[in-house]
Amino acid sequence: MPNAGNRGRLLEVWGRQETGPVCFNTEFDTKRMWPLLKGITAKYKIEYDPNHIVPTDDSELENLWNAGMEFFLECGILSINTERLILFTEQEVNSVLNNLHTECTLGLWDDSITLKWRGMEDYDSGKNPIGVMGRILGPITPHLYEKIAFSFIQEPLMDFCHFQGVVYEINGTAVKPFSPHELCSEQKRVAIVKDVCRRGGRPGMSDGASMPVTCQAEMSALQPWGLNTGDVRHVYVMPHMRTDYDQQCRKYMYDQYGSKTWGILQSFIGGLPGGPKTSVVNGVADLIAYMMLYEPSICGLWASDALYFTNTSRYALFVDNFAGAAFQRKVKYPALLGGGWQMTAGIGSEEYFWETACGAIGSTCLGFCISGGTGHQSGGQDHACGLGVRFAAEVGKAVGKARLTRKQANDLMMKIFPKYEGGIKARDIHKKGGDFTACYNLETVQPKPEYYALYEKVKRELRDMGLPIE
Amino acid sequence: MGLQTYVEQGDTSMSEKDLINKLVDSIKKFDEVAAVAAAEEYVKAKGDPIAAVNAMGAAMNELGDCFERMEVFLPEIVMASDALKAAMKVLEPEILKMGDTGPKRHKVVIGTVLGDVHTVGKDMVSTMLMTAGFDVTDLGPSVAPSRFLDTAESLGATIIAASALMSTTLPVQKDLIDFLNAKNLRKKYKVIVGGGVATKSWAEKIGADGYGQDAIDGVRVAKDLVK
Repeated sequence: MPNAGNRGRLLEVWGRQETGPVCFNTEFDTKRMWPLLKGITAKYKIEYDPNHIVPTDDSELENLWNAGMEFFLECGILSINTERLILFTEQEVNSVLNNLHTECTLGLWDDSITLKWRGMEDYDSGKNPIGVMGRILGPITPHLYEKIAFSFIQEPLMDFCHFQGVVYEINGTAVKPFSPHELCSEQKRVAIVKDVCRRGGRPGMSDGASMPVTCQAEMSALQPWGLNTGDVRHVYVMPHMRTDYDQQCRKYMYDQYGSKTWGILQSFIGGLPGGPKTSVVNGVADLIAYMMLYEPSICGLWASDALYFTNTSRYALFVDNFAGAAFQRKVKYPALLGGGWQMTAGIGSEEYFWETACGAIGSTCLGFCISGGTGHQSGGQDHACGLGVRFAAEVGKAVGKARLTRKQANDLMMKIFPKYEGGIKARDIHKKGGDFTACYNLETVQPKPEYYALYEKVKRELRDMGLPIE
Repeated sequence: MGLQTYVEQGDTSMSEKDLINKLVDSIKKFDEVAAVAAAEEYVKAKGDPIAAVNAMGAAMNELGDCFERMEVFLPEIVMASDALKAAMKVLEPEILKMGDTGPKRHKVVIGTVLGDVHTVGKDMVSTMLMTAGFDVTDLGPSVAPSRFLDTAESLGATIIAASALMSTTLPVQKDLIDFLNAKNLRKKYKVIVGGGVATKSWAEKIGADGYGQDAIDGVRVAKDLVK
């Protein structure tokens, strides 16, 4: 019988922001968070090696876990609304972590998937990869939204999907946060998604989108025809080590409604948490913070470079893989959603597929779920398609078939990085590759032959590298 | 004054150059307390305050280069900037006594537009502008067009920089331009837009003066606009 979790304690936890020690918003980063993070990272001698993006040494992970825990306990979490700290004792943290839910079911009926905890290099405890998440992100031209969503729902290897993608205009009026058009936009999006899932033959597919800016717009879709108990919405530990009433309200609302919540490790490398070695310590603390503040149903890994936004640089995947592995090794919780949530290159490029592969290889080997679908830094218009998530799943399956060790996964990623990271260093890779209209036939909603050929080309090259991808 | 000036400091004699180096060192070590002490020592030694300001500016530029190479990070740049500002408070009265206003630093008002709470990218731009020698006032997240305007007016800013990460907040960048036009202030300010979903063609469409695709680009655009 899986653990029930500890969500009944959350109101008391949130109450601490009304009485905790005062810490001004303007001082938290420079006077508390950064000095502690820098000092603790040095104390535990955490290092970054650009040739070592998949952790292979468990003592290193143990050390990283201890550093992250110490930083979490010392720093605490700042409530932006009250400018007070929420603090925890080590004893209560351990008590909560030992009693977390170990599995979570997303979606409904035959379209549901149960995500369980999985260990590293474990290819025998169910399918590989353990879960496949599709992601539609960024602005989507209104008349294309249904087609892009359909390109995802028709992918049989996809287990659940973040049908995000912004409906940014209603009847010619720009949608803005807090406006009635924002409510209309979210209701329209949810209606399209549910309709697409039904027509795609997967009516119970979990929708994990968090499209609107405001809580009230999200709430407007809590209707019998809208959000159901298999769907998932976000709650955030805001970068870095922060919370606010808005996020807590979301958590409270979705828990009492009976639907699910997701969170993401957010370390913006180069920004407030510093370079990769301090960011990875922050990442571990971030994951602990999620469990203590929200106990989300599932949690993902979303480290990014701050200067040029990317989820798939060596820095970002290092933080994801190391922090995620340090956490998942110690905490029995549903498998984390692995890194590379959106690609930097446009979807119509070879680099998009290489980035997807890099993320999927490390994640599958470490026992995480994988993701795919969106490109162009999630900022480009109409840069999402189902072929991306299909490709991610096929890479994950191949990793499972090959039973890659962590060292083998790392070695393979080292061969793949040169395929795209030059564009990240040049800060122009997002310009590469066409959008959905360039890649898909809009009548049949199938990849165009030339796009399919690109996908097959990368698969061939992966096979040449030794990965048995079908 | 100049290099021939010496100050007796206990057992240590320090030239103006040494004192400037001490001040610069405190900036590079992100030490506000040391920066204030070094500035006070410098003023007591009757050093040239303009030379000190220029040296600190050069130090911040250097830190900006280190930041771009990820050798120094955002919190440290903020701390260095705090140290510089604290030292400036000591030096400014001396500059005014000279009948000078010091080296001109173009003022930038920056923020994320109304409804948008994302700040990471904006923080990076703000930091890099600061290290490049701009005087930056960061209004934070969710800033209404009228607040951009009012702050720019009160500070005598040269540039207004507006960030939007989301498609649903992007239109507020156009609102900002519309507000400036409505107040007949459009020509008074250079407007730079940026953020995850902003593009060069969007910037041109709404009549912005510049678009920065990221923090490094944003600084280049700002420098070009004030030439």
